[in-house]
Amino acid sequence: MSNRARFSLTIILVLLITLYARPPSAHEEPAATLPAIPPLSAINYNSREGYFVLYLEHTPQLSLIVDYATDPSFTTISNQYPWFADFQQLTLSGFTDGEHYFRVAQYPAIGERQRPIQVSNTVKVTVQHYDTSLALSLLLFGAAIFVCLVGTILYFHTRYRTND
Amino acid sequence: MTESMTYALPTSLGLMIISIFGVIWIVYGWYLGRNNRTHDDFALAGRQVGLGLASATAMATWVTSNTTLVAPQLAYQLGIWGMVGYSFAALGLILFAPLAARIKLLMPKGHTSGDFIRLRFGRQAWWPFIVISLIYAIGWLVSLGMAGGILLQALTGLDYHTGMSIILLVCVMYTLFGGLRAVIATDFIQTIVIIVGVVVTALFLIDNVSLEVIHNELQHHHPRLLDMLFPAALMFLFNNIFFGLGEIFHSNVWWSRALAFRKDVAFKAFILSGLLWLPIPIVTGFIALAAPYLGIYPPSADMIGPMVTAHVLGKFGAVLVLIIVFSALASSLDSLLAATADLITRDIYCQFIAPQASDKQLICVNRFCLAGLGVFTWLLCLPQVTTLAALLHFTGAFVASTIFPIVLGLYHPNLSGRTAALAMTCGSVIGLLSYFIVGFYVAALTSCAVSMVICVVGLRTSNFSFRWQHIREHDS
Repeated sequence: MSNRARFSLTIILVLLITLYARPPSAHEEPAATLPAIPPLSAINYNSREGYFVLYLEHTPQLSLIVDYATDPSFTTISNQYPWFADFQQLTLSGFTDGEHYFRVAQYPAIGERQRPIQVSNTVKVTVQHYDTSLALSLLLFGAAIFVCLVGTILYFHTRYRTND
Repeated sequence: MTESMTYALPTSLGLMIISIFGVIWIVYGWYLGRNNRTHDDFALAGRQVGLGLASATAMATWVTSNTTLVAPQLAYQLGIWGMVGYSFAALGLILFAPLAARIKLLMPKGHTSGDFIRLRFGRQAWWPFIVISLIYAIGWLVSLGMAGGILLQALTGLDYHTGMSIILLVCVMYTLFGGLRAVIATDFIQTIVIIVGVVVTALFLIDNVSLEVIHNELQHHHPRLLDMLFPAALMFLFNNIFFGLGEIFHSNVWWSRALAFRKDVAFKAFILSGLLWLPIPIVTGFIALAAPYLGIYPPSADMIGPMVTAHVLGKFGAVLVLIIVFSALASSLDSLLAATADLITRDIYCQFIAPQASDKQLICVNRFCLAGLGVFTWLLCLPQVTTLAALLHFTGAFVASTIFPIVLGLYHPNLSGRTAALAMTCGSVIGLLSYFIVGFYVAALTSCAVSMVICVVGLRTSNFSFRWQHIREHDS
């Protein structure tokens, strides 16, 4: 074989090696595209009762978990809530005053919730409960009217029963 | 999709259970209704209902979607006070007991609450009253229809519209055949189903879920639910009481029962039913507090009760919940359909269209109204516009305005029709304004307060004196 032919063969082999020297994933069938997590929003971003509803823009195709944190960067996830079936909304309750951050995430499997496969946008819900003094005033106001009503019924019932 | 949380029952099983119960109720309604001869038989069960049936029907009617779905919803949203506050609605039944005895004394042959308002206050108060009654009846009917759809959807995944349509159809059918006699008899059976079901559920829950872990979970992650000074819950407390009182005091559902019960029975029956009803919302509400510990977070807060029970008790629990809530819904839906159809027949058809109508005509019109109400409710239930609690509390602004006019109207001869009309109208308008401006927690409270102030001022300045004999003369 001439030097020229040997050189050409070497170049061809090098090119072939280069062609085959791709990462293993390049040889696999392209993976099926995962359904994306729908955008997350809240029906009420400001809550005065400590409960609110998180909402997905369309029906979820995946098993999802809601991550909750008190900081927008989710450095510490305070709690996680499983999303129920294929409903578009989820109701949470019992939150204290402050800013609460939520995102929806897909995790590899139940119990492995450290590294999500994909996450949604973050939603901020602000909880500001009613003033306790206002609530107690209304409670007392209601109690006063109730006492008047019960007193009226008992008074007339006793009076008419005696007359009858 | 792979679901970490999914439905407790297969759709086909849910449909089968509802169909079996539906057929039983319809056949039973037809069987009971075959002896209805007069309109009194059809609309007031012959006016001779005894203590057992009377207590059962009053209790079963008050155990409704409110108790089985909204009590857990309020516990989930407002915590302990939501649950306890809801049980105070029993005060409505207990405080109606003396009023029922008085109603029976004043108009032993009366037919509807509208009859009383017209005779006692005249047309000017009758108009706002009838508008309030119809708004409330439609609101309650829609909430019951919606509750049926929500229940089946939460437990079996059955489409909301299909579930709602089936439940409405079953209740309309058996009420159509049997009238109030069928309503009261089915209520008795439904009461037994409800009490046994709730007790079994409570026993299973206590056995499966420890109170301590529920408390710990709530304390760490949902602390406000345990807070005895939870502001929204405190605001809700008396509002809910006045809402319940307004519902019972004005509604023809309860007046028709007072008139259908034997004279010596009315007072005792309402007291007994109130005492029997009192613990039920505590039990149904408590299960919602276990939800966070069990990792159950509902799409809509009114689904929480069935979801938790089905989760804890498995398939058996889901079947149990389905039967209990279906019975509770049916017992209220049939009562409301019967009472509202009777109100329309007596107060609108008899007053404005055919005052001389025969019994046969009245039964026919009553049935026509019943079917029409069923279709109208179905149409309003189609767009699921709001949650059950929100819908119910909207009607609270109206009904609470009737409390003082009715109580004083039954006992105090100096309350005039003009004052009663003004109290109901102003109370409703201001209650509605508070509902939209402040929130649902104050709607019934402000409505009742405004109505009370107008009644008190009216009494102070009144020269009017009503002659009770007028009602008795007309009644006889």
